[in-house]
Amino acid sequence: MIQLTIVQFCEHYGVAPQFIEALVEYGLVEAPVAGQTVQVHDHQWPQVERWLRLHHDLHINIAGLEAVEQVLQRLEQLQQENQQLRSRLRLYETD
Amino acid sequence: MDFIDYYQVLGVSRNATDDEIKKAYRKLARQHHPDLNPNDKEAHKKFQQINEANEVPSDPEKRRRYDQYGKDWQHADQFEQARRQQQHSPGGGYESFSGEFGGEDFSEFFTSMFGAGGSRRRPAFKGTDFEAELALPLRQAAQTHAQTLTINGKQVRITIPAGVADGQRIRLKGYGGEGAQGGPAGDLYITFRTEDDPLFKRVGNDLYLTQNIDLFTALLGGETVVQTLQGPVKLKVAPETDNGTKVRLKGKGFPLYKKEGETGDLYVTYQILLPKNLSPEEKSLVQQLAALQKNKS
Repeated sequence: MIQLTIVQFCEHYGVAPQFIEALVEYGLVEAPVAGQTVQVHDHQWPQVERWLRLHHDLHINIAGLEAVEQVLQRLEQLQQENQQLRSRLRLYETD
Repeated sequence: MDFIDYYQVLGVSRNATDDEIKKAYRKLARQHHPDLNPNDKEAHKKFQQINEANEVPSDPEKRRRYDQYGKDWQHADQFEQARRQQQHSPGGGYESFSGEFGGEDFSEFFTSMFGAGGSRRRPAFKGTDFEAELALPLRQAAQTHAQTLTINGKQVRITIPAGVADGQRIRLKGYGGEGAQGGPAGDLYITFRTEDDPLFKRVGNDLYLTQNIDLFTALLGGETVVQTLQGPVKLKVAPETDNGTKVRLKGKGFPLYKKEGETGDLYVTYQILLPKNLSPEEKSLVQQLAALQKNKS
């Protein structure tokens, strides 16, 4: 786990502190903000950066990111189901 | 190096207003953003093209230069020099366009015309994650083995544990795209695709096999030898075995991923083959058998 001050974190990513607080508040990142520090687990960095990219590149606000998260999760679930069904279907295919 | 029509990439006319350009860019960026298209290899490429296209018409100076020289862009530097000399205006060359991005994010055409990079400010970010697929024959996926892959010119040796599932993804940290603004490199995700085997079909950790047996073995019982991943196995066939009967061979299926010594099961389905080209004598015997069966019922 990496512990950064909110100022360091925001400077590094070029975002406002409110954005990080909102990410945590909406449950998009499980990073406890304790006083002036934010604690992010190693495995969460790719996720944090994904939200920042989407926010920066597409101007998606926090509510939009939450909706994106749900749609992406559903997409992944459907892709897995599709994969399993394809695998089962192959049983009935004649060579 | 070909001329790139940035207006065409964005789907706008050459006379498009700033608002129209912004709208077109946002729409395309939403559609092709790599984070919204996690398994689409083309999305990253397309997103870069859109970003590059947006750099030009969204910047008044770049747009002027691009519109002015158009397809003669290769001579733009000479034209500009001549123009500056005529106007006796010193400096102000286009070197000032070297921006925050690395030149590798832009096409050769763009860097020739505008310098190494764009002008858009962007915070330091980890590079884009790459996605790749690796096809494995079923029997190879059943064994722990090493493979050397060439990724962006680098040789990477990976060990693939036995039992890797079809569609399973692994992450190779730092083998993705280069980071922007000093950010770390992205990761490479490899998705395994296990190929079909002529003999076995795999569902999860179980294997399925169709075994042909002759009519007489099915009727009278006997033995048959089935192939498994661990070698041939002799099976007893019970008398009066029906076509389509399924037999389970415990522990003869696919190895479980990262669970040494544990394996799934093998399901053998019997397919009964009827004898062909019967001789008159054989036909007569079968007819006798049929008659006996009729009398019984």
